[in-house]
Amino acid sequence: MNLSLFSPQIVLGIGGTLLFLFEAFASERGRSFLPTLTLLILALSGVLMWKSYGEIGVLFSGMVVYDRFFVFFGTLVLLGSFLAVSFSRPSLQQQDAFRGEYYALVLFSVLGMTLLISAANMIIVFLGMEIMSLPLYIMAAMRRGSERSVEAGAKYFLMGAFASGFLLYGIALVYGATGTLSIEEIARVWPRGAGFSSLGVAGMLLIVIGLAFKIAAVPFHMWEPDAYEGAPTAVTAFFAAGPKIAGFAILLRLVSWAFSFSDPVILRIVWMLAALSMTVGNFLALTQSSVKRMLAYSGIAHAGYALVGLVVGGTVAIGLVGYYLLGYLLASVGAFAVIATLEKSQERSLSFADCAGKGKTNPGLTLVLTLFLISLAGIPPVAGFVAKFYIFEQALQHGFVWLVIIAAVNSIVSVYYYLRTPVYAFMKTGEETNPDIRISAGLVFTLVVAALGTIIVGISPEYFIKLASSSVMWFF
Amino acid sequence: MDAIVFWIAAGVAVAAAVNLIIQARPINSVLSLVVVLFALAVIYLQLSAEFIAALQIIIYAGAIMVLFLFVVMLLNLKQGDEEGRRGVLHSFGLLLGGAILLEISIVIRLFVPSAIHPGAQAITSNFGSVGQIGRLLFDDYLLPFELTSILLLITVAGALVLAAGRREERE
Repeated sequence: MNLSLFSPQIVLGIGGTLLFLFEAFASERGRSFLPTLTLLILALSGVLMWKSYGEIGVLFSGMVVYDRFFVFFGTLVLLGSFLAVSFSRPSLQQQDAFRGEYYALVLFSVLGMTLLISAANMIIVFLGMEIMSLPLYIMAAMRRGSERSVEAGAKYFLMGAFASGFLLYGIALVYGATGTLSIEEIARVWPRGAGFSSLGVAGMLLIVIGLAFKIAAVPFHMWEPDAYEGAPTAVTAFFAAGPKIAGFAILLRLVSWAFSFSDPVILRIVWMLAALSMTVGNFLALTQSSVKRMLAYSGIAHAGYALVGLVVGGTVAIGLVGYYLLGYLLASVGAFAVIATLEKSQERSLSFADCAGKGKTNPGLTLVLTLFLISLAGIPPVAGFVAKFYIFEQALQHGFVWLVIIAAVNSIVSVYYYLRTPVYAFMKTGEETNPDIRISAGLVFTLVVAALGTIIVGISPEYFIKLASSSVMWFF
Repeated sequence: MDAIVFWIAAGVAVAAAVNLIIQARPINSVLSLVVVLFALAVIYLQLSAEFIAALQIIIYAGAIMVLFLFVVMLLNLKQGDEEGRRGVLHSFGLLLGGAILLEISIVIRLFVPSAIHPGAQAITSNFGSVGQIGRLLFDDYLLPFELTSILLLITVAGALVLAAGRREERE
């Protein structure tokens, strides 16, 4: 066993443990280095992840794998967390939510995500899910003085516990139907095109439901707006960056490999999840007055668009889901970073009306925010547009006409609410200006990387799409 | 003989589980849960999972239940909220729960036995022994075993983060 293939996870696990200890014993000055240490550990994990790119290794008696899929989605998760952590300190301090333990929790949560992405056994799927989620519940409730934050944590925790229950029951049924927990073995017992037993179908459905909670697909989305709004905004950026992508990664691995789509029931269920998520997410986003809540609902809608790729299936479409998530990740973390900076009060989150006149007082911030929103809305030439375009094209080629019609209508609807913020910011005048908007170096880094990424990924998509589709090649 | 023991254990488990839900006082619920766990341990024994049966009694019925009792007593919970027990929602929930129970039992009777993979039924002579479980735990399942300890570390740390105030407030 080549343990170095597992080193990205080991670094995160040891790093998280050490940061807990460091936080407990460090002085006030020492604790101000916590974000930097976290960034270093994340970067080290990323370097180790890419060191053996191209190799394939099965580790710990078939518990985890190292493959291109792991490297691609693992990098996405690390990148998103890196961007979310790099502006976190001033933003958390401003919201009176700066806690040293946050950084250790981030590392543990990322450890859970990387485990989830590299899981080759259902036990690791479950453990990875729990290791990823528990820190998230704690982070959401970290602003202890605020009722909303505690509410967000409690709701997130309860819904997450339900999701774990579904997932675990599904795993048990699949074990009953196949006699194995190994994803590879399951794929062998259920060969492509063979029918499933009713027990197996029930198990798969429960697993898909459990994961649908994590990616917040309708009708399993209820927790997301409250969790996103109640949590400190820097934490919300982390929520948008990591967990969703890790949830999608394991969903792609399971559905397109182990369950191999030979059962039409699963296909129909994912179809419905996609259509419902797009429609409900978008129409509820229309009615929001808080920018943060609007972005939360838009995240639900984006899960729907990405699920379209999963419905289509095949190397190209599944690869495009990876590309889509890259675009979504950059734009949403960037957007949350701007919102975290513009927010002034701790209790009330930023509303559209608060944005009025910001185009004059903070032109730079508003411009990048507009760029991210344009990418989320899918307007050319940025990443969001290219990803949506290719996924819809694939769906059309494979005859999913209705799904594409639903998706296209939804995309048009979404332009309205995405452009509301820029319209308020540039065309209306605000009655008061907020003098203490502080721009930290970390924030500049996050915004520059996210903005450049959004543009580059959109302008030259070929490289990234090739990278993504080569990562899912061996499922098929 | 086996069948008689099973039916007694299963009957006690179900009866105690029902009692657990309908009891108004939390203490009585906790005590019925102990009965449920004991009855399950008997069923585990019949499935030749001796070690799991012992763990069930030592850890669940012993340690965790004592913890539950402590929590209930420390919180000094009074009689449960009677309002929530009547009302439309209550009978609606009863109806839905009953329907799902019926559904699941029909499905289990009709489909499940034939659907279970035969590989899951093969049992060797030393199945369930401490030695075999230990070997599996430290060999094939080493990684999940270690990850579980990280999970426990997170829960302990998380409880501290949420329960203990900030450092500045503490000092």
